[in-house]
Amino acid sequence: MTLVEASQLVRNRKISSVELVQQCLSRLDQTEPKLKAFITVTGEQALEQARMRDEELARGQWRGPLHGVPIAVKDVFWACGTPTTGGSPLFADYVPEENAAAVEALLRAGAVLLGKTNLHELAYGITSSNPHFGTVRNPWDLERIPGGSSGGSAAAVAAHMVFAALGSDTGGSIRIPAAFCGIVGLKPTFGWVSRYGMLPLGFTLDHVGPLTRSTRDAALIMECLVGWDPRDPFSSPEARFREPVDGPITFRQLRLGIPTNFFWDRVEPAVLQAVHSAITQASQAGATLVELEAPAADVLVDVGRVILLAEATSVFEQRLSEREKFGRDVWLLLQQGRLIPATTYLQAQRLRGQLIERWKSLWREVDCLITPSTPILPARIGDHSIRWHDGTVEDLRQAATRFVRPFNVLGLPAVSIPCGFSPEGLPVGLQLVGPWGADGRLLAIAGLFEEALGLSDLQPPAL
Amino acid sequence: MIRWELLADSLGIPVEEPDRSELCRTIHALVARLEKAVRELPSTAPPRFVPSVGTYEDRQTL
Repeated sequence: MTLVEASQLVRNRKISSVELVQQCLSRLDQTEPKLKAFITVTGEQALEQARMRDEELARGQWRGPLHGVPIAVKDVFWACGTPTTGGSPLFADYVPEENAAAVEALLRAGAVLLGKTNLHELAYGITSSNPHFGTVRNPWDLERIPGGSSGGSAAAVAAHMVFAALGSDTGGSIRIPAAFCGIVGLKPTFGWVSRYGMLPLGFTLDHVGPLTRSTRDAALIMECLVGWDPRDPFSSPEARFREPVDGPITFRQLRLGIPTNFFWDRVEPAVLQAVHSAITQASQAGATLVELEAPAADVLVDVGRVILLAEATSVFEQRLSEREKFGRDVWLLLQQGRLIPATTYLQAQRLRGQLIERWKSLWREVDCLITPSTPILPARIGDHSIRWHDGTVEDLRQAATRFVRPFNVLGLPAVSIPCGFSPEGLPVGLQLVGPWGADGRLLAIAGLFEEALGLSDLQPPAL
Repeated sequence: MIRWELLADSLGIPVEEPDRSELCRTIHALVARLEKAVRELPSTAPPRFVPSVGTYEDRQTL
């Protein structure tokens, strides 16, 4: 059952919120010991919230599209009275006294918070093998990573423990786990969703977004999340979530940008096959394919890495003396950040500005850009690198973030949707990228692919 | 040219070998690629203000 379906059932009083929460808690009891998707489960509070939602509905009070529906949030978002660890012992005892803006928006729309999800430590990595709170496992293959850093959110949604979850994305941390877990993950336009009350990592790269089992579910969450918030200095007064108003979109109306560079280098064959097959289906359904060069995509990756290394270290530098509270990989990244010269960071920001300008002209030619979400399938837990067929070895983090990081730098909306499976049954993600502020239209286009491919609300067989 | 090992020493970066060499190699390569990208920018035009992220109005709130 999707979020949209659950929402309608609750609103029409075909099912109660308490029943939905009980179903989710039962599913959680069954799967959580295998997946380690949560850091904190707020079962009793959720049942109490659900009872209140049912009473409200009985009185004719409907809060909004999430009324009575259980969701989870990554443990980087403040939830009043519930610990917010960031997946780190640094903040193990931190209990916020207010909600993050995004959490508040979901609760205002009636959501029931089932808990806080596990993640890569400090949201700084892609495996979600957290040395402090446990290794999150992929619901499609328990020996593989779910991706990260929002790995717990993705695993919880993919395993049907909740109907949706919030994630954060600084260099792919929503889209990578969405791709690896066979669900939908949207990184919205920069400034569209407030980050107030979220643990920062790269403050000019951080985004908040939904992980769901369908594109319509993601749109529903976005309707609740998007808007200007003066408490986030990068929040945009222009932030609006608009679905297409001129009727349903069809493939025949669309010009799909197919990059001729960068996004097809060193890609696993199963990923290539699934993505090409999705593009072929869109073309056969009438979409116009436009081949084009993605401007300076390789430079964008380096720009993003320099900015993130410097910003993340600036955020956590005061705590670096507490060595025992950091996992090895995060510790090394934070030390690396200390070596970035100030001029290099500022040059990266200047380059970023110029590249944002260059990319604007691309949207005169196409409605969206299509790429694989990641060049790789979910790696085995414990792997740190990937060996390509040409003999080169690539760091796993860099491989996983290669195709997603550019769009954190550009601030453009980008969504990962499932587009197929490898021969061993692992999900493959397709990334669609749109122009600034076109999040609603992008999700509508993603919905066309979802419908054509018949890949929504998937159920991992291993569970 | 930055001597990364010396810089790491002067900053007191407490990372032991072989991670230390790997860390310096990674940063050297990353910074070198970025500097190359900057060198390839048009250099005769005077520097100008460029937006980093968001719109003009966004930045007014900073």
